[in-house]
Amino acid sequence: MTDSDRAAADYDAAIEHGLQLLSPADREPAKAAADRLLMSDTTFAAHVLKFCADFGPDSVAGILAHELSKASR
Amino acid sequence: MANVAYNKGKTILGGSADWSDGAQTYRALLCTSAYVPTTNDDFVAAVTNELSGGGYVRQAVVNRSVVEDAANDRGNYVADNTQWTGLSSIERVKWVVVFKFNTNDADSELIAALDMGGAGVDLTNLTEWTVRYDGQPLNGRVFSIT
Repeated sequence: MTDSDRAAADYDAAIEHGLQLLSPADREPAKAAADRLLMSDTTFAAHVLKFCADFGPDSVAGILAHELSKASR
Repeated sequence: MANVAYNKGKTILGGSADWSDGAQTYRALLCTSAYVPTTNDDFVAAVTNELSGGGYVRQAVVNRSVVEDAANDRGNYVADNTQWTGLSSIERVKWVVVFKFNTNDADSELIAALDMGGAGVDLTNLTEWTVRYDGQPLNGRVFSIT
């Protein structure tokens, strides 16, 4: 497994953990918002992983909820 | 309606679950009054009308312990107050539902549903909201077993 493969797996795990802390109704749109950001913002994955490392895996839910709020405005 | 102690919670707290074990994960979620808890709701998947959007996320219930309450002939299950931050919700919280997280909603066992009273708490214009268990400033009784 390469470093980028490992980072991608860590990112996927972090997002999955964060989604579990959202209301079921929010999970699909939050995942979609994260997927869009992943494509458009090259720093997003690193941001998620740094948050996860610095503040714990639950903090990723806060990122997702924030992005969901922005997307729904 | 009053607080509800789920049968599943009563069962697992006498067996596989250990409230005071910091390695286990307990969380709290928030529901509107459209959810009507029954003692036979077993898993989180049975809970309906959870808050949605508005910065809401489920929160960990931490610093848990079990304290003997001889004066009241009961065991008190206490934890730190649970705080929600970053809110921009316009919903009302009627129920704080405490559950033991395992791997997903289908296998996470319900422990108790705490009635916020009346029509619930209106989160409109609140960016933070804290549940003060048993009215305590930091750490209080979430529920008891008598």
